[in-house]
Amino acid sequence: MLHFNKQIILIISVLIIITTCLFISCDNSGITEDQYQIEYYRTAQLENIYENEIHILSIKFVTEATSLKQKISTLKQTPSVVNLTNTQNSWKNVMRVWKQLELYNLGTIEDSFIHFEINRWKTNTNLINSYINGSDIINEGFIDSKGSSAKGLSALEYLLFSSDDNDTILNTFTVNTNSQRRLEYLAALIDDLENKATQLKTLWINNKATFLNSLENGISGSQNQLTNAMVSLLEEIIISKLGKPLGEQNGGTVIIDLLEAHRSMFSLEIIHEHLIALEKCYTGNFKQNSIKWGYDNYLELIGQTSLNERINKAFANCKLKIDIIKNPLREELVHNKQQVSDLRASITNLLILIKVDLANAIGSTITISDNDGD
Amino acid sequence: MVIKTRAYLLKKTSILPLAIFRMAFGFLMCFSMFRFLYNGWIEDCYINPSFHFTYQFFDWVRPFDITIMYAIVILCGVSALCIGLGFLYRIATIIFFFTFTYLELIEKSWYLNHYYFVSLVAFLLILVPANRNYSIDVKLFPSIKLFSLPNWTIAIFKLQLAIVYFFGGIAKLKPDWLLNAQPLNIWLKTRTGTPIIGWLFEYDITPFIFSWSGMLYDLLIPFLLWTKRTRSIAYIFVVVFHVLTHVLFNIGMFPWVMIFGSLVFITYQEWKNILNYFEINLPKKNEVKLNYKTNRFILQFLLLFFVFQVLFPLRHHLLTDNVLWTENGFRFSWNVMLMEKNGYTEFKIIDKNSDKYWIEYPSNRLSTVQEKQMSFQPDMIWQYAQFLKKEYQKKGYKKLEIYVNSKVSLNGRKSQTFINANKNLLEIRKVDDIYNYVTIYN
Repeated sequence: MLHFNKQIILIISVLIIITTCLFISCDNSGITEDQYQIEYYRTAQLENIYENEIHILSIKFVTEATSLKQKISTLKQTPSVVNLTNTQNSWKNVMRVWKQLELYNLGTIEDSFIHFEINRWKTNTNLINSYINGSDIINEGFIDSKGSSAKGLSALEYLLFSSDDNDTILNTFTVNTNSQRRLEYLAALIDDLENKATQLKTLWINNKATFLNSLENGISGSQNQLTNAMVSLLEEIIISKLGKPLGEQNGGTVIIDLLEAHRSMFSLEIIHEHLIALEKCYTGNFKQNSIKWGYDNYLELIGQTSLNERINKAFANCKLKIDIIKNPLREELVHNKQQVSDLRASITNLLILIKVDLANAIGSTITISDNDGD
Repeated sequence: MVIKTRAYLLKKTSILPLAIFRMAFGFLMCFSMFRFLYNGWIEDCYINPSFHFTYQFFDWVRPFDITIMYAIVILCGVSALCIGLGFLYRIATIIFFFTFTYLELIEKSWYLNHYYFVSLVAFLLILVPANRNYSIDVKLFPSIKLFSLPNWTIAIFKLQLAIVYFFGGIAKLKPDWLLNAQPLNIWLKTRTGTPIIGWLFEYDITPFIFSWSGMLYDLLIPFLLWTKRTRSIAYIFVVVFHVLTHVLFNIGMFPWVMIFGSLVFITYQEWKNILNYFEINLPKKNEVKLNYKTNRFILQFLLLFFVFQVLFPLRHHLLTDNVLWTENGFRFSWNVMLMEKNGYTEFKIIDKNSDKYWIEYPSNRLSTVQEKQMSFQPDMIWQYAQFLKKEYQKKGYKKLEIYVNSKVSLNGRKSQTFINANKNLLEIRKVDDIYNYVTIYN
């Protein structure tokens, strides 16, 4: 009986200790700000990314899409080489913004597949031509009802850069067969794109609270999703944007057509914009005078200073390899393949640091599907 | 000693703890199997991958088509339910053991320690008459009813659980765990947002406290559970410890398997005391005689079984200097939650006849889980190279060489090359030989 009482007393004591600990832990008044550094940094990093990058870029994307719409409208009213060139430059401006915003394909945004609607490559030129040569009324509704491979930024590029010679391109909108329908298709594409840009902005505004409040480390945690998004973009650059054109999946034969935006000779600039977006996402350095919380601060906080230095060096090395390339990628692939391979190698090195070292250091889960591990 | 042990194993004891263990295990496994189905893991694990990482000596274990795989998982779940209910028990345990083990053996990248544990327990359940009371079988066939059984029928489950804990504790006796508090140092810092206790993980000392207490828990809890005086407090520790691991880490069913599994340590008298609090009386025991005869070979067989269980987890000491890095002898050894490991691999295939080359990114052919697990496990890297060889041979390329560019980071350290990048993987004839080309860990 005595032994039984001792056990009961022991159990009650343990329960009291546990309960006391829980009550103490609920009382935050005695805890200094330093004790919340990790949680504070993670919150600050997400706020910085949303307020100073995602939100700004999504507004800018709408603005640039609207600007392109105006240029296309002018081109439609007054077809000329000057107006065509202005339209082409405006398309490049849209791309510059988009290729930075494209990094943030995560959470609700990813689930909506809107990124596919905005920019899926390579575009299906046969399909586009069949629509132009068909008899359906071409307007925004028509484009909206079609698959992503016949619309968006890549389809616009195909129509605006269908030849190396702008006179020839202009003819496709003025004198060639179905030129009027081609112009109508172009106008409908930008109407659809502007609409999608607005939808994307709204999606982000509606998703803001979820993004900022998902502080957990699980698969749905925002920091985890950001890391995964960085890895996904780097892998896409390596595998699709450089690897395939380099011939890595066909035995070593260079294929120019597999370059993204090869018609506009904008392929290298796209990779450059991606790297700018990736580096800004990593450092949190989005604009002057803002609080620049990023992964770098987080790594410093958890004692991974040398990893931070290596990642910064890797970004610098990637930019160096891009700077070395003086001509459009489609020319470099033919005449100076090694420099493109070097660029790919430098980005692979960056990928390893993000996918392996960074993920390991911050305990990020680089998985899309979940499984219970032990 | 032998006589004492034999007397202990054949001593009469109540069937109640075994029946409760049977019910807990059966119902939990039933839930687990239907959870597997509900989560879409049949497709993810068995159907979608075009290639499966099979276990050594079990290459012949392959998945069937989706309809049959669904049928097998459902059969497995239903047989677990039958175990819980004690309905057609013997058949149910045999079906559960074979279906569960079959499902486990199909895909190595989905290996989990608790899957292995479940297979072992399922096998042991075949050997014991856990349905001879508190079961539907007894309702249907009252003549089989027993109140008492020889002690070994319960002791084997206690011993199996004790092995999991104890070897889990031994596995933690490593510098990374004890001196660097890794990987908990990484993991706990990602859990600062946990309600109520998250603030604790902001402190550098916390991972050390968790590491050392986790190690001590694993090493001591089997003895505390086995000892009558400490059992009640030990079981509270079991519940607190595993609920905490459930809250903090993504380890699925493991905590529940251990919490419910540890019920086997609670004796008839203790159950009686607990139920008395709730004014529930257990049926009176028939103390007249023990009418269950132990097969004369069973104890010898179980001795061999447990000798294997004790020796097998230690095999890595003969195979490698650093089991966390090479993973040679890592599986089936109760290396639970010991590392944060990430990797990257890309394969270069060269056809010497045509001088053509290809770069293979695993994500193009493997599932996310497969890619992640392969990236830091040498045997899987070797298997994938063999798979690629066959794929390229089908395309007509015969004189192939395959090299891997692999980088791995372990427990927060800088990534380093994992497999010798200059070694043609196709020259490595046996899977075990790949470990000779794992780089030295710096």
